[in-house]
Amino acid sequence: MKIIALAIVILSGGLLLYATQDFPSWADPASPASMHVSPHYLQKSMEETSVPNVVTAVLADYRGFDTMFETTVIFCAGVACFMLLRISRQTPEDRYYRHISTGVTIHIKGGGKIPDKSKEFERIDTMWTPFDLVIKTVCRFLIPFIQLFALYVIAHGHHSPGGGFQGGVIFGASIILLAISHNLRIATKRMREKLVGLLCVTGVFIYAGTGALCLLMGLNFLDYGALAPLLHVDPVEARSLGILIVEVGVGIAVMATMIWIYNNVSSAGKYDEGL
Amino acid sequence: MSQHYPALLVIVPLLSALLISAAGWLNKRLCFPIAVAALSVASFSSVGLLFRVLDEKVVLYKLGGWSPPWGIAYSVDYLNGLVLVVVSVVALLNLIATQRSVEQEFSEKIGAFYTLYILFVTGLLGIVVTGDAFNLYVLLEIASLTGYGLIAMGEDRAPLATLNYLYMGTIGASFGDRVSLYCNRFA
Amino acid sequence: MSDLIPFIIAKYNYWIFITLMMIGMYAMIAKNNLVKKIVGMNIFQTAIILFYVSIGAKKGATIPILEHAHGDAHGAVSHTVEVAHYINPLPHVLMLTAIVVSVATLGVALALAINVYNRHKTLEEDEIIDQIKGI
Repeated sequence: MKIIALAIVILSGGLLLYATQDFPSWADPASPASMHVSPHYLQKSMEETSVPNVVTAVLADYRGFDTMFETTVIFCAGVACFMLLRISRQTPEDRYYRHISTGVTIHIKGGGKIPDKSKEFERIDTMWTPFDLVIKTVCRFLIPFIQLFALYVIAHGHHSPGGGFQGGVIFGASIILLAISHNLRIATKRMREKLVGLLCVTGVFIYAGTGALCLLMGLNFLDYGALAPLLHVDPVEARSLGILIVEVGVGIAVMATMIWIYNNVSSAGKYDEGL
Repeated sequence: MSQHYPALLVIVPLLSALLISAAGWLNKRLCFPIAVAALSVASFSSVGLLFRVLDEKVVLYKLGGWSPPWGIAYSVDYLNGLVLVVVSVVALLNLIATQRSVEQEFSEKIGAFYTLYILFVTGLLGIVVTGDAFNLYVLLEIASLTGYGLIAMGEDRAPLATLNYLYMGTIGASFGDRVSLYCNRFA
Repeated sequence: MSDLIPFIIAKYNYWIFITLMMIGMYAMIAKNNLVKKIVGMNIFQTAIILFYVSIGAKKGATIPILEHAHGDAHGAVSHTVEVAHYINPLPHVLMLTAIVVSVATLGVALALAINVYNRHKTLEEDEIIDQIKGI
């Protein structure tokens, strides 16, 4: 099997390398890729959309329809992971508790439980690591700053590299950091499963809803100039604001999906213990 | 509204897939009626679009208001219109016919199942109606991902077979991505 | 031989990315463990993304964010934009889409691998095929 694989790989690699003879040299300003459509984007993006970041302007305005389906792809992945893995809890379940001062562990079968607020017993999972002061404290300090940076990246997508996808992933990573450093149960208590699912739907709905609003106002789908009478600005500025609205939608959807996929995959659908 | 049929064909199923997913969390009995309503609107728009195409030979719909090389345009002609009608009507009939067996098999994840089904039909309708090569790649990815989710719920050999389908789909989409991007770049 | 040297030196970026692509494809075909195949798929997709982004580079150019444009009155173009001064924004836009697709596919592939493990209790592909054939 390995010899066949090696033969296939060498053959296709050889064919591709032979095809690179016709490619333009690296970093050539006059290569065909940069000659046809992209000069128009570079020259006209400021006067047609008033957004200096050309990548964001192309992504969210000229080709905004593609970006809406991108957000739908992320949403599909979240729903597919949920549908493949999620197992509803079969009650009654076994619980493990640990007496904090003496270190004795208790295994309670069949649904009995000790109340959550008890000062002497803490609930643990089958794989338990001792309380680590440094990691937990450092992560607790870092997480709000990470979230603030994520909001900055989303909001400044017009003037610096960034945008909805990038900011959404950073925001999702902050909640995943909470799940890794503490406990999956604590992270799930902060952001419940129903909230995460509904946030995912809300993000994509903001994007598609903005486009449908433009449709109802008379112009074509996702033509942000139709929002100008609603926002009391002129059409070019309305495009810039429309881009900001859809980027917020994308950020929310990506954040919720990252958290959803991590929760499902790391606990294999059971939501009891994570990594 | 009749001038917006090409967009309605794809947008209404997409928005209703989101509503079905929310209904799956909140109230499970609304999932099936919303799905039937969405596919009925899509079938009705595709039939209306076919009649429009029979009058004026090609229907061009510019999304976002930008003309073709700089924005995305949907173009529908005779072949497109016919395939759209076939796909949407068959999907609607299939949805109605399999309602009872789906409710028996997926009683608690029914919101997720109908969401994936409607998104799959959205992907297929979009692949047929689009006139832009990169949009085709993105819609192909939607159809592929929802296909992986739907196929993997089968009987014993399903997950392994889905993994093999995933590898093939990824390699195919990557190389097709390359072809479509070169077309986009040079046109 | 003499025209092979400029061919290699001017285009060595394509050679590197094609090598990465072939490493990924070899891992997808030849490895036995399911997770190693999934990692190979990810390497393959990453190589394609890098390949495209390298096409858009231009010698001595800066990132495609228009300078001195913040605060300009919208609709008025106060300076002409020199196209060779900014790199091509189009591959970056299209590859954002490809990165998102690769993350989504990785998530679904890992969920499928967990499903396979729950059903067959192993992740080695030849053992799984033996179990399926034995049934």
